[in-house]
Amino acid sequence: MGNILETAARFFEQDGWQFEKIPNRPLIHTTYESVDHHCWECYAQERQDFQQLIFYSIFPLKAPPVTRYRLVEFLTRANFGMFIGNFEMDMSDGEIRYKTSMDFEDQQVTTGLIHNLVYNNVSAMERYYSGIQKMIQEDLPPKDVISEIEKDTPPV
Amino acid sequence: MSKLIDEVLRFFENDRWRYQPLNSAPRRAKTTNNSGAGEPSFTPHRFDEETSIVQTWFSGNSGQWNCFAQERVDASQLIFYSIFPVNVPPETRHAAAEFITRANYAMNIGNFEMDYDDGHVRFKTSIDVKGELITETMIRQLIYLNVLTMDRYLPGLMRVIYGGILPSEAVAEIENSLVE
Repeated sequence: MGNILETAARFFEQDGWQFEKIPNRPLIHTTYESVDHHCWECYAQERQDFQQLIFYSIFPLKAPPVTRYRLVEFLTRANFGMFIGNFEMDMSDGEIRYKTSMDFEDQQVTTGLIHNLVYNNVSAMERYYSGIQKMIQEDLPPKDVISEIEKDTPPV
Repeated sequence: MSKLIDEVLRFFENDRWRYQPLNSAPRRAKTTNNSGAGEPSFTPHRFDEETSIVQTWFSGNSGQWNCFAQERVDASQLIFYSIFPVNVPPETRHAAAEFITRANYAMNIGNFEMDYDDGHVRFKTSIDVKGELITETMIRQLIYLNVLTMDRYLPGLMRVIYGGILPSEAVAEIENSLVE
């Protein structure tokens, strides 16, 4: 495990997260449960050659092929105006995730910076979780679902 | 106190960038500034908080465009945007959104975003330094990763908008050229 992932592990420990280091890979796996009792998998990945840390929240359902184009619009609308991080979707299998990342080149890695990376991430997933679920399960106009979310909850 | 923007200004001085602090952000619809490049401009998302903005410009291999650094003062966040030189016309907005989604999936740092309602596209990198110190290296990385990514993807998005190329092909071409 590289230096960045070691610091991430220290952050998770100090902050009371249960997590596991994936053997032989620069990855930490953990899960997050939101106040609404939504639960999802998270991964912290170190790109050792680039001194970057990427944190992902993985949405538990994949978007079936017929829903993918409306998810493209939904996620594009959600991303516009997001200050830290973004939603992204694998168009080949419908996996949806939220990403925050940082480049630590020539930079001291601190648990404080990792705290910000992780909490900005899970807050964004929390805010849009129910909307993504609706978009996968029902044929609704993306614009309306986004307006509903952004009217009711404060931006991250 | 706009501490993060002060650091950005220092970086621009040291790295010899032309820049212009903005007292209030220009509305996106207006097209006057002194860049000489075609607009669109930039509107911050929240007016209910203290924000500092500085404008700059970048010329890459693919073209030139406006850039904005925005500090969200209370949140201790610094956001850097490269503004795509044209707004995407309504008829190609879905294709542009697919291009952006595909491009973002492979992106490690930063992301493209588009305002679906007017076709404004930009590339964003950002950092949250609440409780931490920002350094010149962080600012350099934030800015250079940003403009170099815009430079790489700009022609592909142009071809999706005006050349009718499929978003999947355009992104694959860019990503394959990175591997070579």
